[in-house]
Amino acid sequence: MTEQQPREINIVSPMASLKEVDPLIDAGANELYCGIQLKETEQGLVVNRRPYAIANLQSLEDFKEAVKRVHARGVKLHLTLNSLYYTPRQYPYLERSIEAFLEARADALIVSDVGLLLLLRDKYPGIRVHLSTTLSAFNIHTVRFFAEELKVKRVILPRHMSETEIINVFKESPVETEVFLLGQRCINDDGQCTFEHGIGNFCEDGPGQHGKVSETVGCYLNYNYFTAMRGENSSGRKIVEKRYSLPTMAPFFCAFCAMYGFVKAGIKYFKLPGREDPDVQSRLRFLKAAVGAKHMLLYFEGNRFHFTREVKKYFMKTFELQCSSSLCYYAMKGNHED
Amino acid sequence: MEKAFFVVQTDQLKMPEDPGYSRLYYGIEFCQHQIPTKEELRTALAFARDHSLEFTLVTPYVSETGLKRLEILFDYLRENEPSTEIVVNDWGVLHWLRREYPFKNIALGRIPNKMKRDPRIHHYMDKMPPEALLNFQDCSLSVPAVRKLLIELGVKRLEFDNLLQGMKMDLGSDPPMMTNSLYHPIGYITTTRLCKAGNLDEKELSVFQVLETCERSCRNYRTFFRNQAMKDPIIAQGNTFFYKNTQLPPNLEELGIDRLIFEPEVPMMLSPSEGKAGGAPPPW
Repeated sequence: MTEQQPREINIVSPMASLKEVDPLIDAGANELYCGIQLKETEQGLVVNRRPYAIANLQSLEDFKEAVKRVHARGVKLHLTLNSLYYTPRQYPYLERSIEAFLEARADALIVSDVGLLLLLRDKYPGIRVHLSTTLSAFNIHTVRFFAEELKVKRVILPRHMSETEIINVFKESPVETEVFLLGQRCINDDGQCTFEHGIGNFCEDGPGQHGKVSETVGCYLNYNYFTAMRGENSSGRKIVEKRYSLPTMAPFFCAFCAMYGFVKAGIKYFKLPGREDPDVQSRLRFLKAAVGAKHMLLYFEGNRFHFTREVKKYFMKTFELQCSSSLCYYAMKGNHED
Repeated sequence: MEKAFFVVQTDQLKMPEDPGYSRLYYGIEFCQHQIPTKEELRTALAFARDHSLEFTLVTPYVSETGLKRLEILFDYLRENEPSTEIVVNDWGVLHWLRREYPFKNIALGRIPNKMKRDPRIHHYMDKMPPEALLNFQDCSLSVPAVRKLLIELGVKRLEFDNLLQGMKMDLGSDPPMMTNSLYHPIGYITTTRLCKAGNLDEKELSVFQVLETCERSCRNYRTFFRNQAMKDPIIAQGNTFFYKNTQLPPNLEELGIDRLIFEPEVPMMLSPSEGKAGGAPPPW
């Protein structure tokens, strides 16, 4: 990497309320994305994968205002319509959201469901569509399928891929590629997981992560477990149980080292998750850290070894954490001393 | 009603005790490290032939590594058994098959058929507004445009898990009802490439690391997760969590289900060491 022009690196940040627009853009977000939670969908027809008030704008009016403010700052705003699937009952609410999207002139929809992709392709061909990570594009054929058949313009790749897999898919991809850079990641694959991110806030029961048990992500529940063993090798049982005892969703993973390879390959869009994080300051902190790593790479002329060394120092200083493979978003053997 | 049974490894190939089975499902849905070899596929095909069974190859979602393994099987079938039915659980595999292989009997597996499988729903059914329950009993295949697309892509059959909350979906009439299958008594809840039960000998392996290679140590362990909001424990086997539902839906005909796929075991690899010390099959 010896070119003098700055590399193109776009940080795509979550946003959960109108008041975050300016702080997120001031912190360096190049693109924002958000969801809307329509009151009338709260009885089980939510059209959003994060069905919590804290994760979403609360009305179509707020969304339109958000687009206005974001565009005034020269930044793009994308809308998530990313439930894993929609039934026919949900289409009236989807169409209302799409009409609001068009009226507000927002920039792209982030979509997870094949039915919605068909609706957009056939009825709203002018809308730019980004394929959500939950459509599980683990291989190039999947990327081609959604690009060719359903006209998506950008694919957000799954979190459960290795750096090499991502780069190989990107090299063959006919459309833009977006990858996760920093933040939380679940042990279960986004697209293949049918644990609910909240069954619905109409269920009355005890306290859970986002309110009640019924609003808690299924894999966050408290479980009693036991392991049955088959065969003669019992040594693994303790390891299995130890691994199951670990949290299913860790709040913090980092792909700063991998960013070097991604950018060198030509990937331009780097996503931060976390619109359901109730702590706005936490969201800002992650964004600022990502923007810091981006600036380290914009004109970096050394090789990967040098970048990794520098970015690790930056990581440890920023997060006051020892760098470790257990914090690695796209874990790579041999990239850490631990 | 056609009766099929599902086997994921050749050492489990045996006819179920009750009669009437006419089709063998063979393969894996959830883990590309468990894709059979060509030799294993030939063994399963020979078993099907010897028992006068129709044959279905089940395939998982895959990365580039899995595509290479599937290519060996697809090339073999193209040359030797081109009428084989293939279950796809990856949109890319469907696209690839359509472009490069002549197979005419393609089924869309239960992974891309996204439905509400969280076992808590059963616990909350009585508390839900009717509209919410109906939504939880439905899926996106009720949307006619989705079925039209699948027909265009050459899909002949749709596959479903047996939902704990019941199934109410309109799968016909425009386009006409496709043929549909139901897996029972085990449904899947979630799966991952960050497998906690794999590579147990690698003590330093992060549980948050994708397994690029795997020694299949998951085959020896099965973990049960209990929570008060669930009637039965969740079964964790390999990289996947499953629920059990022994009650078949009463409206099979209305759903267009003309094939039941019986799972005599959790559809993941198990150690073949049954009968040795500590080797009684784990209960489920």
